[in-house]
Amino acid sequence: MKARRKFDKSMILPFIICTVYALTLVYPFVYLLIGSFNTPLNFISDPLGIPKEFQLQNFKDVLFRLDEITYDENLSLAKMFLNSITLSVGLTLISMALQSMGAYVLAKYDFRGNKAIYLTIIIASMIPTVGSLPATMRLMTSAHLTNTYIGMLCLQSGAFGGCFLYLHAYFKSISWSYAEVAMIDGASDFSVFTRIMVPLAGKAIKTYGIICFLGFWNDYWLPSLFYNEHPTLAVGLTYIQTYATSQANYPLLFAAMITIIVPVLILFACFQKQLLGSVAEGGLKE
Amino acid sequence: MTMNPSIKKKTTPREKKRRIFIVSMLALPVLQWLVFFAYVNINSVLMSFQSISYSTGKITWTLKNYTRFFNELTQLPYIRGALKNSFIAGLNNLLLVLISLILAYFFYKKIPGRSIFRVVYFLPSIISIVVYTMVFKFIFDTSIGPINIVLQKLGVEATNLPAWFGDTHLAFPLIMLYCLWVGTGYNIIILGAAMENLPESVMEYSKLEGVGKFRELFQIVIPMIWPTLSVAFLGCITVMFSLFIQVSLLTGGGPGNSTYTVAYMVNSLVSGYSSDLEWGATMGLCFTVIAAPMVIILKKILDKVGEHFGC
Repeated sequence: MKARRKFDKSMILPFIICTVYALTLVYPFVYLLIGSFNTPLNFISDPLGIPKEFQLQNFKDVLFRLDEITYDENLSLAKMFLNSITLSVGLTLISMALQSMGAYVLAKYDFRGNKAIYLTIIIASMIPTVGSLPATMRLMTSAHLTNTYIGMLCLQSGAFGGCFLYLHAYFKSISWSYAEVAMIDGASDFSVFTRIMVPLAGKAIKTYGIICFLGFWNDYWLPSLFYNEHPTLAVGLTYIQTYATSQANYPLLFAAMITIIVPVLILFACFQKQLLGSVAEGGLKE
Repeated sequence: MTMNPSIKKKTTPREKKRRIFIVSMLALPVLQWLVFFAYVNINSVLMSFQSISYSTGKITWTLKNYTRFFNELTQLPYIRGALKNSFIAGLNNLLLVLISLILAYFFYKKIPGRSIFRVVYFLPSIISIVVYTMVFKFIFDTSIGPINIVLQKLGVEATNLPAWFGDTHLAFPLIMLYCLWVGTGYNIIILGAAMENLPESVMEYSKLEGVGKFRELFQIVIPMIWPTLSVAFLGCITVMFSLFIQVSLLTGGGPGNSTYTVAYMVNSLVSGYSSDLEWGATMGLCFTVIAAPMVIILKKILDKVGEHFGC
């Protein structure tokens, strides 16, 4: 919008459509936000109305007393937040590390089996597998990995999914001459990787890392199956919903929802450009 | 390929070290893949031929799961219903791609406020699906939802108000609406980026020739971004066979079995208490047998169209 051009009349209808659509995406959160200041009784009697008085009780309850209210010690906001953070940070770090390692070696070293590994990965990722979850469940339970942190790491730190192909292409595009110079100076393969190649690919690793992190942070299905004794925010929210709807205490649920999305919105506001940019880049290279 | 061959041939200690390096870098990734992808997928084939006694845990090898699948497919309506719903979900995703394409084209044509729209449309991709499905359910809630309250204020009799998620005919269309509602953002970013990469000269030419907007979209833009677009079209088959979290969070397959999809049937067996995992693995395999050729055929068709466009 920097260079304001002459107003294009054919854009009026599209503009109206786009605005209405944007409002439908935002309005529900206004409804949640207003409701979250209400009392349960007032809300039920007039769900669309403005609360008679804005009270902060729901947010205080969500922040400090969620476990007391729901009679479930796992559902304290601090605990769920901690579960979400440890899980998504751990998963992001480990899976980015493994992906970079795998992608780098396959992209830069010529050895027997390289092509075979690469092709196997590509072909395997193209087969649409509908039902591998039952077998995954069998594996996780028989190896006693359910509800363990290490189990979640093993399950989700796959190096050949997600951004492997992009990182592979990225490492391929980096010139090998830096490495050659360093090796003449006596640097080992490992230090070339950590000291030269990773910093050179730093931007790509960082942006895919953010995408990975958001995916893990928002993930619901795998934590709900394999980590449900340590509810993350997304999983815990479904438990809170069950409690709140049974008690008709919607404002509490709304306050919980708002509290949970605020950190994500802040993160998005900070990294918006990078994030949208890397999503676009990822799509183009496919 | 990028290595210096002189280093590779002369120094054996160096070469040895390098081998150790390669192996140690690849060990964990390959091991993880072998266990959680290869083993799991091979085991799901084996599981489909197994029957496990709950009391003794003894495994017997059998074709029982497959005969059950064909019996239930032919005699009970629910698997066919799930197949039909999944097919609709795939078509719905096609619609989503087309809507996103048009929206992305508006953005490309510099619609006012596009930077705000782009961010707002992307919100559902960064906010947890748990939150957005809850929000969507509230909108259509029969007691506290804004839609029914507004309908009531407009004079619709309380008995005539739609039951939305409680109605077997409305529940699945609502899930489809949800997918459209939250799905545009991601597609707009990717398709939009492909459009931004188009050579300026082509667009200048169409401007000089006075080509209308819709002709420009269909005759110039679509053929030129075809590689990106065909990835999005291929995604329709993925959606067809993988849509289930939305179903699980919005309706739990109900009311009745009206919102079953194939992936929901397979995956809900894992989370449920019954957890007949062998039956889930069997269904999954049967559906994979349907899905795999569809992907290959669609890919062939899309490539043919691409050749026609000269990509």
